[in-house]
Formats: sequence, structure tokens, C-alpha cells
Amino acid sequence: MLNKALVLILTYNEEIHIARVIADVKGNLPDADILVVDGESSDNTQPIAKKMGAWVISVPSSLGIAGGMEAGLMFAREQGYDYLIRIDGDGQHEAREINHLIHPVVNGQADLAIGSRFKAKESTYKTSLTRSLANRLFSFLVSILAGEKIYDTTSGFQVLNGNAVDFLCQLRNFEYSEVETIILLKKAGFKIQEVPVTMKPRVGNQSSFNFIRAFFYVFTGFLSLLFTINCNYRRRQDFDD
Amino acid sequence: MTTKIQVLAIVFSCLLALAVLGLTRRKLIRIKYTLVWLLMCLAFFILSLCGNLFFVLADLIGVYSPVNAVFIVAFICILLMLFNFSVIISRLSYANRRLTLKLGLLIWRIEQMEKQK
Repeated sequence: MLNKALVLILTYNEEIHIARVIADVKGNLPDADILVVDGESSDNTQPIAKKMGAWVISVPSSLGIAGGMEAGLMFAREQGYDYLIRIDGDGQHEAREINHLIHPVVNGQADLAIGSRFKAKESTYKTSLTRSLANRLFSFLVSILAGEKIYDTTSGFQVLNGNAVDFLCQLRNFEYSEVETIILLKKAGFKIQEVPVTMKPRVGNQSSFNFIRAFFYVFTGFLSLLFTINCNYRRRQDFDD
Repeated sequence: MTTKIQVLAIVFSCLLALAVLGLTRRKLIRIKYTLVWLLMCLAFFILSLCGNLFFVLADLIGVYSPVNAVFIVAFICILLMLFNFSVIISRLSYANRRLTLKLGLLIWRIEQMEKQK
């Protein structure tokens, strides 16, 4: 079905989940390559991922999710992948949803497909109060700036096509953030589509998203949004060739 | 400004200039940053030498004591330097980030090549 797809899994101390996540991806997308970008886990995440047949790249944990995603984008671009599928290493995202999520990108209806936890009316996804508030605030701001309603701006379950990957890799001093990426792509004329997906609640080790981090995340995200709206990037057509 | 403070300020600016030059000679500060520091020392030296300038300055910005004018000038200079360093650190941080990620990709490539051998 897919030309050349790369599944990017970002991990940090995910030895409990990583084997199942990779097995799930392999079961659902047998032709896709799997890249695990690991933030120098102190547990057995890397050996397990390698044993499961995934490629592993290690980046310093201080670079965070953004650094992992940037490594994945650079890798996908260097190796000439047509699709970059990002899923989390904690088992929240179900690999069977990838086929559903990638559909609009493969059909040319979208350059970025976001797996949305909140778009479906019957969504029962539960999240902490701080996350919920941050999500709502960014959804409100991004929807205004993007000119279309985006329900889940912070979802880490995404599919990008090669053009979108090329565009992001060419930005000067680009630091990845889900929220900023949506605006950057939208402003450059890329098509974005939200696809309702089901996600499992997080199990195992605790999420690192506490109140202080939430405040920092919202504050920096808000600032980066302010600066993003004033940027003028080349339009999507420039990257089509 | 008392003579004591004046002498202290002159000695301090000379010592600072000497320290900057020494560090530059040992390649511990790059030439472009040396220039900024030497200009700072020169400005401080001239202001210390011409004590009257601080009276004029104090009068201009509306403070009673010329010593306070010294502090205000020093504070503004330090603030400008810190701002300059923030720009430099950000630039270094971007470069470092990119370099680290590229290193990660290169290590992966080497591993693949070694596996193929």
C-alpha cells in the first residue's frame, strides 16, 4: 500500500511497552521501516528495540521530544521516505489506527494528518486537568491562527508526507513543537486533516507533565505561536518538485 | 566622586583590560569578544579619569550622587553584555542541537555499515 514509510517511535525509559509497540506496528504495517529515537534511556529500551528489529538512534534526553522528532525528520529526509508516521513509545497510540490515519495523506487530501483524541463527539479520552487546560487553550489559539478548527493540537500521533518533512527540515533554527508545526505548515499552504482516533490511557511510568512543566509548555508555546504568525515561508508549491 | 573611588575605578578598568588581553593571548577569549570588553574598559577608564563627567551624567539623569551615576552606567553596560551573551548562547545552542542530532544519525550509519561488513 505504501511507497516508502517510516514509523518513528520516540522513547525514554519505555522498556515495559517498547516490544509490544514495535510488534503492533510490524503487525499492522509490515512493509514500513521502524526507527526508535531514544533519549538515552537508562533501562533496556534500546537493546529491546534493536532485538525487535527496529533501527535505534540515541539522542541526549535534554533535547526532549522535540529533539527526537527533529532527528526523525532529518532521518526521513536523508533516506527519502514518502511518509513519516510518528507514534509514542508508551503504548498509548494503537498501531491499527495508522492505516486509518495515513489514508488522507496517501490520497493527497492532507500533508499532515493528526490523530485526534478529541474530534469525535463520542470521545471519552480522559486527561489530567493541566493537560486538558493546555489542550483547550492551544486548540482555541491554533484554530484562530490556522483558520480552521483543530481539536487536538498536541497529539503526538501524526503522519507527514515527504513534502511536509522537507519543508520542516529546511527551516532555519527550527525547533519542533506540535502546535507551532501546525501553524507553520498551514501558513506555507500545506493541508492538514484531523482524524479521530482512540487512544489508550497512559499506563506504567508517570508522565513528566506536571504543573510547572505545563506552565512552561504553555508559555513557550504561546510565545512561539506569536512569532510564527509573523513568519513568511515559501509556499508549498516550492516543495512539490 | 571622591579621589579614592576614582583611583579604584581607574585601577579596576586597567586590571580588567590586562586580564582580557591575557586571556585573548592564551586563546581563551575570541578576538571579537575581546573588542567588546576592551571598549567597555576604555569607556570605564575615560569616565573614571574625567570625574566631572559623572557630575554631568548625574545631573543629566537626575541622581544626587555621581557614584549612583557610575552604578547606573555599569548596570546598563552589564545588561547589554548579558543580552549579547543570550544571543550568542542561543546561536551556540541551535548549532549544538543540530550537531548532536547529526551525530546521532552518523552513528546509526556507521552501525549499519559495520553490520554489512
